[in-house]
Amino acid sequence: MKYNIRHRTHYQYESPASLSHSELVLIPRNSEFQTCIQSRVSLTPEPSARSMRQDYFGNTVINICLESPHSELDILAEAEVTLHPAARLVPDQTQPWEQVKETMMRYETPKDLEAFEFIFPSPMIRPDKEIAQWAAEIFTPGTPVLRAALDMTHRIFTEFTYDPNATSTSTPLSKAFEIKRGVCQDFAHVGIACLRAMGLAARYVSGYLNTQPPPGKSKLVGADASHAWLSLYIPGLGWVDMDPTNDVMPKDQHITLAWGRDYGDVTPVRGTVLGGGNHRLQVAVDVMQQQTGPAA
Amino acid sequence: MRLTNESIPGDDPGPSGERPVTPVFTADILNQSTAVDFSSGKMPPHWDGLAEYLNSLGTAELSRRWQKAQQIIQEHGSAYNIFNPETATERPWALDPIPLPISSHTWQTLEHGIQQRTKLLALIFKDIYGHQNFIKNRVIPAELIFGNPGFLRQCRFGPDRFTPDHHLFSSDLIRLADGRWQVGSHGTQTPAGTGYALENRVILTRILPRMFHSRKVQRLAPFFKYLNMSLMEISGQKQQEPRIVMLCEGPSGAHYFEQVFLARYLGYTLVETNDLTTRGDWVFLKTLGGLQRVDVILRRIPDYACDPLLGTNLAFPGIPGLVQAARAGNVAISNALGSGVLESPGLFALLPELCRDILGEPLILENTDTFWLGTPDTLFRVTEEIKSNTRPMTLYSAFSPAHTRVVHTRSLAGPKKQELIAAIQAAPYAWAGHYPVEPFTVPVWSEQGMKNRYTAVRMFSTAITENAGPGSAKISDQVEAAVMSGGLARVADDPETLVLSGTRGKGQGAKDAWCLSERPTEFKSMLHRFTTPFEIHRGSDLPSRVADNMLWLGRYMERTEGMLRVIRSVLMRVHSETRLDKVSEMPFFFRVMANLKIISSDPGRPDASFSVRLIEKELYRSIYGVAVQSSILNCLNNALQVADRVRDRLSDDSWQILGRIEKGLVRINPKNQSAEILEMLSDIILNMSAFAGLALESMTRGMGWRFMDMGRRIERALHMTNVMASLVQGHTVPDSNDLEAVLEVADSRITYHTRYRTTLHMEPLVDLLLLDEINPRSVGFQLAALHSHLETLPKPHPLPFRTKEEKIILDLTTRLRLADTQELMILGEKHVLPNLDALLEKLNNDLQGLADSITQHYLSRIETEKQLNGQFEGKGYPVAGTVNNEI
Repeated sequence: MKYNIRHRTHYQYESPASLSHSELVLIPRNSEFQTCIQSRVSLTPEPSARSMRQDYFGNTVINICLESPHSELDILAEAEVTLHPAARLVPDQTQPWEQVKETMMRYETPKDLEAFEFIFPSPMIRPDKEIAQWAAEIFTPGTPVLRAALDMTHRIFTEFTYDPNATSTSTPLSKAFEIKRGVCQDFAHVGIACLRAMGLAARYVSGYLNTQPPPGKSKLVGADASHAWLSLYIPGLGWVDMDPTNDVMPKDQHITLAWGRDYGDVTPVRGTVLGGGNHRLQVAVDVMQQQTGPAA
Repeated sequence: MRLTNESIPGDDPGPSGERPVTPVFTADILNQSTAVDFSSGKMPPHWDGLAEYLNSLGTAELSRRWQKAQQIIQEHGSAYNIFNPETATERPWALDPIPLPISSHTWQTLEHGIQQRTKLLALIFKDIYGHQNFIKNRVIPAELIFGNPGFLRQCRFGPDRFTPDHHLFSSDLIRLADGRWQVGSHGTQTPAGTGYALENRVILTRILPRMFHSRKVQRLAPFFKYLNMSLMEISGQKQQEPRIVMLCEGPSGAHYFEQVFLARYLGYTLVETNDLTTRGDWVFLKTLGGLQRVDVILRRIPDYACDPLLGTNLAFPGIPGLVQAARAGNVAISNALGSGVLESPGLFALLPELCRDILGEPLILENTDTFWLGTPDTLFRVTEEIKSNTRPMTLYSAFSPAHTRVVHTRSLAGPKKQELIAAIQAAPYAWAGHYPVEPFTVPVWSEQGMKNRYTAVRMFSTAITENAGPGSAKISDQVEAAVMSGGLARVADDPETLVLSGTRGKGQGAKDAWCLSERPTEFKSMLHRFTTPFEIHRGSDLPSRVADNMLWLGRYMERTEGMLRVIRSVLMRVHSETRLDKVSEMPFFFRVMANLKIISSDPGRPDASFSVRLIEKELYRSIYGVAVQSSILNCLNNALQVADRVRDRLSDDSWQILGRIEKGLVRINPKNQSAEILEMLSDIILNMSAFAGLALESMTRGMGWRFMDMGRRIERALHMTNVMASLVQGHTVPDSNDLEAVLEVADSRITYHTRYRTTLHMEPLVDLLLLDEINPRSVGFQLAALHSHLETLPKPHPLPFRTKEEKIILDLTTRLRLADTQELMILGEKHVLPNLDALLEKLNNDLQGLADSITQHYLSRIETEKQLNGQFEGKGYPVAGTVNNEI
């Protein structure tokens, strides 16, 4: 499955900003299940300094600095990505979650050690008693780990209400859990907190979702959005993605940008600005499936 | 007992032999102290020498010298944060005159031991932020690093980093009663105390000078020299002197005093986060002369406050782009960002094993009895001990040294105990702890007699690690380390507070720790790059923030002084025997006071029924009214607060005077008698004049002084304009009493009367107070001074035209110079003196404009960057049914 992605972020300032620093995580990474064939991030105006690097988790990060007065900043990320869907797993045949927890604490293989980083609390996902309690209800003794994890994401899907106005990027996780409302980011965080409370390794995945127009209508330009889900590490099997917002296991419709411990590690666009007054932010995302690939 | 009579200046051996000298140390106090080891049958020589010398001085003499020392401490401005009553923090570590001597033999062990630990910590840092081989090879438990919130993944720059790391560590040591020395914790991020140790030494050399001649007390200076050279080394600068700044929190920080002291001593510019900015991966200092590159940052603020792009704590503005600049190798930061992870108590407990595994040798200095619960054996032992209550202990986070959650098991009730054990078993690796320790007790001086108190010694060390170049997989163990030969001995009644490194030293005392040597030591530099002397700078690299504060310091001081003079004059009249309605200049004073916002409105001409009480009440409110925005109290507080922010720029003498003003201010309260108030106001005026005089006499004519003087000149010109305007705003031509009153508040009476030995006239008065450029009180004088300041301010490029502020000042000066006093004296219909009135109004407006323009031109860089709104994810969700749902 091949996709072309256009992700445009536009900041409009009330008055010219004289200096700004930003960090962009907008280039899709390669993984077992995905190859980024090409990618490009174009900026208007052209920044005075721009550099690209791999972060701690292997994501590609672009650092930019604008030093001359600018009243808008336009960030256009374009990428072409091929997905190689993973083999289907049978949730009930995975090992009990307690066994996974113990294996994790031993971190004997390099892959296990790498995943071990993701069992700990992170800046945006602090330990939370309520969530831990909720998790303990789902992770009954002896349950196969993937079965329990999917039950958990299913419960998020059914018990939580999608509500873009209920939370913002700074809403604490405990609040989102309490009101049982939020967006994909909140749902992913709840899921990760749940898994980590059980001693499992879980990471946050930032990316895009290929959406279909309503039957009979053509797809609108800019109608897509960036998306987020989570991934669970099962020793021997590797990382398994799950999307609580849509109650699915991502296969060939989820394009991964980057992963980290939580949203804070992989914020697509993060920055500061000097002057500029109030600013307006517009985001438009298009995920276009290439027709040459096999049909969905 | 008396030592030889060699005369050392300033070291009078005390009262002459006629009177008996009360010894400082009694045998009892030394016997009770566990620091003094009598096992050999006699006092060890390093204590003997000290006791002998102090006893020869006697308590009376030591007491006298100690009083002198208190004065020095005051002068150093160490009376901590006296200007912020709300946030007043007691100064940590009040000094004790009795030093703590450490024998040369012990010192050698301590030095080697600390060097070894410094090297070990530096190598661990390098590995966990580098290739992580220690983690991969299971030398360091991964959970101790990965689980630590202080492990900043953004600060792992990879193998292609260019600057070597510089570390400044602290080690808290205790000596047990049996003579063994142990280390209780390390400070690895922004360890406090070097500055206090230095200051303590400065003070003790003043009060016990002989000891520094006859005893071989090792100096502290070599350590700071080494520190300085290490910082130059990591700058990567080879050709020219690197710019090193010391980044601190500002006056609100707990250790601001020490930072000011250290920055002055090392000659570094003391900056706060908003003094620095990054442009294209480089760090710059915002100065009056423009942006100047910074090579090295000696940081004294925690990681999370350094760069908002770290995303760890959005409450701190930080320096956006700092991490990226460090990553690019364009700025060296010491201690490196992320070094807080080394303070982990869990990691500390493992140091004995780590030393064997990493350095291949045992630890020279043992740990205090600390443990990490991440291993099954320790976990089992400790839980058993908690259950059975056999051994009390203190438990806390294995990651954070801040000890936010400290549990003492001694006083734990049953259910609490169960709760604790459950919490530990849920994540044993997240817990560390220690068993109680009993540090040695050392005699501490007080006027009431000596007392033995628990003591721990904080010692400081510094290290440089080389960083492997691009592509190199090898961990270089090139570490150079040095230890300060001396330290900060901390004294407390509760030994527990000495062990937890997170405690800030509140309520603790301090001693100067003396490391003795057999023979005088020589300083040898271990770095050779910077052997040539530097050229001397007289630059104008004043941070814009400092200039802004200096400007306001000048303005607040002058504004207050002007108001005080008016209030004093009015109070004198209110308290005189003449009824106010008979005082013909009273309406003038009311107008001045209304113009200066001393009183809310002009009550007009007083009549026989005029209430003195009422005006008195309003006057007092204008002095000590907290709610009155421009009250003397508030103005002075503003001045003192601004002064506090530029503490490092003001001389010690200036500080003393500000301290006196502060004291005078504290005395102001509604209960004062009127006579007292007058006296206090006069005192404050005198002190303020002294401050101004000092600024004139003892401040270098750098940019800081210029900005302070500009502030002063602007306010004085505005004040005089206001006074003169009040004079002509009346309905009648001012009479001689009015004119006399003007001269009084303008402090120009003598000048006038020596010049014109006649009765008072308006025309010469206007000339003297407005136009005369040699009268330091006149508007003309202020304008001339401002003009010359503006000409010397740095300009980025030679401008083909004058700046806005230059135009204003040129226009005003010209107007005054060309003014014809006779024209100004023309009487009018609506206004008494319309021409003069118009001129004064113009002056008033333009002077305000001038102040704004200076701020805009030179000081607008103070603004800081703010966060961009985060991108908010998702808008069209959920889209169930449109995705392949395969489950």
